[in-house]
Amino acid sequence: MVDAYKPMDAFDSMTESTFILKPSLTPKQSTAKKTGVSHQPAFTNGGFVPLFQGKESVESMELRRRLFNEMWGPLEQLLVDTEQQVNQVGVSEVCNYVNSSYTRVESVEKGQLDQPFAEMSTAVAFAGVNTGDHNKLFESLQAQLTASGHHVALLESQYCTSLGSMLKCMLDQILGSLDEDQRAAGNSRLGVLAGAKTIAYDMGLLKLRWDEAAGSTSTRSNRVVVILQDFEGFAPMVVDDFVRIATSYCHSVPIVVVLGLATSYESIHQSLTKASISMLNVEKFNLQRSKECIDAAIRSVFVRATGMLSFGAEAYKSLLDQFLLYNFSITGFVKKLKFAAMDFFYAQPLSVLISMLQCSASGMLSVRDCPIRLSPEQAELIRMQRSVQRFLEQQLEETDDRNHFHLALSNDEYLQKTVLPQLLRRLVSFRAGYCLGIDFVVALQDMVPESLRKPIRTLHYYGIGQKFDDCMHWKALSAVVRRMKVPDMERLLAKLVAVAAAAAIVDWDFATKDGLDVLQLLQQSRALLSNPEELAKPESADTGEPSKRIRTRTDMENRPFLLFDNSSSDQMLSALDQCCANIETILRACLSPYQSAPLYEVFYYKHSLLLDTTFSAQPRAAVQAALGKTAYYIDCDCCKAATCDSDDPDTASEDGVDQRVMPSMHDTSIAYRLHQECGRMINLYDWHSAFSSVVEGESAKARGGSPCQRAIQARFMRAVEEMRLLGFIKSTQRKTDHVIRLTWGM
Amino acid sequence: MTDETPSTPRTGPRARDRVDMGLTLTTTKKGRKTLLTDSSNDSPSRLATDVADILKLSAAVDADDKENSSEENANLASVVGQAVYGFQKRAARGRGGGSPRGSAKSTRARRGRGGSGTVRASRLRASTTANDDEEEEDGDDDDAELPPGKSRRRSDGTRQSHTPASRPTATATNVGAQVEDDSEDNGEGEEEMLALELDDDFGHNGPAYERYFQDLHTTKGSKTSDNTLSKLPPLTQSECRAILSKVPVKHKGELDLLEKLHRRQFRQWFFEMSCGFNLVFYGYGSKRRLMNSLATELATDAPAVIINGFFPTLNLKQSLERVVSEVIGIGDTTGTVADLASLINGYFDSKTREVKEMYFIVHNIDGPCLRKHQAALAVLANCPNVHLLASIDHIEAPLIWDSSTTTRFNWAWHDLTTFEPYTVETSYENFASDTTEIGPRGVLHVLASLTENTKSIFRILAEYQIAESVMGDAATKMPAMAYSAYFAACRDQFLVSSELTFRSQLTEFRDHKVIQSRHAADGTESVHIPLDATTLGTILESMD
Repeated sequence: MVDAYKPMDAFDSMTESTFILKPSLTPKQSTAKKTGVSHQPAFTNGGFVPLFQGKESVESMELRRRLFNEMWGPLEQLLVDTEQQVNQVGVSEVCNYVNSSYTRVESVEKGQLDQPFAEMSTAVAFAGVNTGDHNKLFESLQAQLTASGHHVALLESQYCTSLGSMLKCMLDQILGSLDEDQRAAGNSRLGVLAGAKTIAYDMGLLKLRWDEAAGSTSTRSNRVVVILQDFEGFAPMVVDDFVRIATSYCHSVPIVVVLGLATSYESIHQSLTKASISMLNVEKFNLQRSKECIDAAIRSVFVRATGMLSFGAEAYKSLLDQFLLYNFSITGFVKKLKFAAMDFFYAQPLSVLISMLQCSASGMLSVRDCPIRLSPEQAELIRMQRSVQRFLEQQLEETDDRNHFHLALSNDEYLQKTVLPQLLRRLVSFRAGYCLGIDFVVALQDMVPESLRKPIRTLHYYGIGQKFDDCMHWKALSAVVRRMKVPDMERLLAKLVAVAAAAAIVDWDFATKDGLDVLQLLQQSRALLSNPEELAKPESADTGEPSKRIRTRTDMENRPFLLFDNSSSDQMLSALDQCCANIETILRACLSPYQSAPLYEVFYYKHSLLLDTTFSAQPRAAVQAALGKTAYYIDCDCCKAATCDSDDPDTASEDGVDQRVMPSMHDTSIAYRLHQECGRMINLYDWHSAFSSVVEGESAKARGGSPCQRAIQARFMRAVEEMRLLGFIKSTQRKTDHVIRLTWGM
Repeated sequence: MTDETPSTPRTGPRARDRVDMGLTLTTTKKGRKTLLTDSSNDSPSRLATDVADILKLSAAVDADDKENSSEENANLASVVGQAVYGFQKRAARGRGGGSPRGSAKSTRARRGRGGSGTVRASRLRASTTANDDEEEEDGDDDDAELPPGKSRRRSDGTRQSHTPASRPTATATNVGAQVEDDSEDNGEGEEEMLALELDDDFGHNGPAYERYFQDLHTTKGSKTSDNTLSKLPPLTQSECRAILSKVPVKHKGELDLLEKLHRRQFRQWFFEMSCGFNLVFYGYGSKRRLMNSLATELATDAPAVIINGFFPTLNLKQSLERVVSEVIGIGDTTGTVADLASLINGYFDSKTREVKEMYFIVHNIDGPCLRKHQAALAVLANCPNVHLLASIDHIEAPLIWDSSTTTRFNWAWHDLTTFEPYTVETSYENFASDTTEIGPRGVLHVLASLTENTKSIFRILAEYQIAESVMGDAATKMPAMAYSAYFAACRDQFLVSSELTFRSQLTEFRDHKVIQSRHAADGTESVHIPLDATTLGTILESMD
């Protein structure tokens, strides 16, 4: 067998499984190395390629690359900071607990009450199912504990398969930290066992060193903290033994254990024995903050749009679904976001336009000149966007400036210098308005019942995904506003005014259709409310009679408080009505769909499918499609022609699936289709017969002679082997020459 | 009958295609005619042996069976019925199989629930012409498509299904006659056929996994035929490879285009890797060639390590040791795979490293020897300066990663369907070959079932061979150990006490083809393991 085997290429061998390619091996590079020049990267420009079939200028391509780095760097930092900030609360709670632990033990030593049993302080930290994010969380916990002078060991289950390895892992870290302490204290007598070749890792050693350190420095307030990052991953026996051993030392060495949980608090009771649980003095902590974190991230990245890249409704939904329905993983969220940004700058030729937006320190966006001259292709692409066409047509309608219109369509220079800034200014204003709208809703939500409050991630989803009039949530909110009493309304208006005043100045002419001044409208409403008679006078004068309006049923329904307090005047009620209408107008104007913004096709990322296939790929479906619906990958004529050949076109493609097995198909595809018709057990010989009958048909048609039986057999064998490799079948001992089918359904 | 059947038009072909793989050849009338004429030239003797062929050659059989006794025919029919039955999905719903002798009748009894093969089997006795056959078959097949309890045809079916059961001695001729009766019933009209077709759709377009449960609960024992591959001529692996290398590639042009499209993405993948993603490729077809070609392009920049995960005796520890010594330049490393992985990770994280980046290409990261090392590979992949490119082929491969490993891997998935044959990946499999050697995997299997003593006996020979191949010249490919020396060595280590026990141990090895012996010209016997030193080393390591 060994002798007969001929390798396919340089990387195939019967005896070697590993091949190492070194850059110095290639002659061109080896000279470069000698002269000290750094290696040429395999692909220039970091893998960026000029778009428009290579017609894009290098300048523009470089700009895209630079923009990506400029944008993503701060954005990533922002996300990391956000995460850290949110986690900080939980982390400091645990830190406080560690600081305050064993204070009782110390008091015992002062001769007070003695405990009849030993208990080890234990913090159970529930960190949520997003295990991927835990590294960061526990590292920051470790850092903070170390900063407050404790000796911390962070253990992961993969390195602690046995008690021995666990103790080794733990003592390595703690003794190291003790050594460092001593070094800092100027103690020259470093590590007793530093020179020793083998160290017996046991708790006795820790006690020895602890006492030593305690003697030399005043480390009494310090604790030894052992963090088991993924408690569920540890073998229960190992933790059990560890608890028993550590407890017996906790009188002399103050050990605090932090158990990181992913599932639920129950898992402690399930894995540890009662005896060892009784040795733990447990306090619970909730470190799961990924939802808060994601809200904060969405607020800063999408609503405030500091990252300049926004997501369209579908892509945003895909991003959110990954988070909410999968594992609450922030890492996964950031990953997807990054990939979207990469794709945007890699594949969108108009991504250079982002360089025209400038973010000031206050978070306000402004428009500046484009650093490069747009190529004719880019200009044409801008003109081709529906939103741009709409914008220009609208301008033409309003101003009737045909010259402007003509120049915008024909002159690239004019487009870049005049039209593009207009477009972008309007986009920027739209975004600012949208941001203000979400802020209004958040402020409004503070005043509505708990059940009606939604997190900002959902609000943003409604904001971009649904029209204002279609969204149930906005309706529910405005219903609440309509029922508000006068004092509530006053408070609300005050709040909204504060929000609007704090927000970046929005160019309302651009932001909303009717050039509505939100702040002014709000002030008006407030004034109206504070002095309804004043403002409503002209109207009441018209009616002449200051009598009370009849309370209609709708009135009662909308304002139940009228039942008890009928003192409010008509003017007051109409003022309230006016306020409600104003608020609704404002919200409607602010939360208009992003599709109304110019150039939204460029700036709102929409490739949700790409994100899904890149991060939630379905390899099984891909293989099944390749074998079962080959046309999806290979659009060949031979298999199709045979399909059309059939007598009835209706039967050919029933629910889009061609049921026929064509001899022209790929061998494995034939075998796959045949195997789909089998039960659990497949007789190889019969399968072969079926296979050969299909294959024979091919050559009978084509060449007039049946292919050699042995060739068919070999091809069949190859197909079966491949199917086994792919995991569709497995061999069995139950019956001679049978295989078991493993997949059912699509 | 022939008059009526045209009114049962083209419901047949599609339905039949879906049902029996044994008969897929008969997709169109035209196709079948060709075949019938083709194969009718074959000799009767071949027909007797090749059961599947008989199915296609009913006309020829008709001519043939005048010479045969009716009993033989019944047997033949039963075999045919079985053979086809193995490929009928719905037939499995039936009651338990009858005796081989009566299975023609029992399949007849099941005819109401479909299986065109059954019908054909019975048709062996039908003395109609080939043309008539065709027409009749269409009708029959439609009838056969009838799912139980779905239409008014059912009462018909049950009535008939009782008939043979109550008359166990019914001859095949009777059965054949009944078939004809049925098909006459069948051609009642277009409307009915339409109804049947609808029923058929209803019965068969349900989720296919339901069939799994049907099969699971309703069948007792296997319904597949007893045919074995011994009926086929033996084919060694090397012959297989030789033949396959000559087989023309289907869809050459389209596949070339596909490859071109994939290659166009190389630069994008490079960009993704430089942004910190690791790539995993999936989809049907060997991804080896494309990935290797990408690796060679990448290797101009930084070292690239290619690991063949499909290699049956891959030792990741050794591979990583090689990486450590050849790429990083630290010799003499010890420790587990996890230690090595974190060592490499630590090196590429440090600021003072000489090698800036490394590409790590793993073909089939779901390979059998890599499955348990995913955590270590994840540690490796977690380093921003180590770029991992992996491929998976098993359809359930993503299950080997838990959520924390997945996070570490930081995969970006890419569909790399190539339709290329898995020549290299499957070259280690020994499917249906009669080679005298068993591969390393086979040796491991054998060893796993042996006692410690016996394993030690194997170890002595293996170690001797390794030592010899290191010391000796390259000319002797398989260093053998003299029988007497081997025995002495085993006795010295108290592994065997007498030559008798030693012989019996050797016989066991020899039976499993683990050890081979040969006689020199002077009559002395020497034994050897038919594997090379590297493989033996891997086996010895995995024995520990």
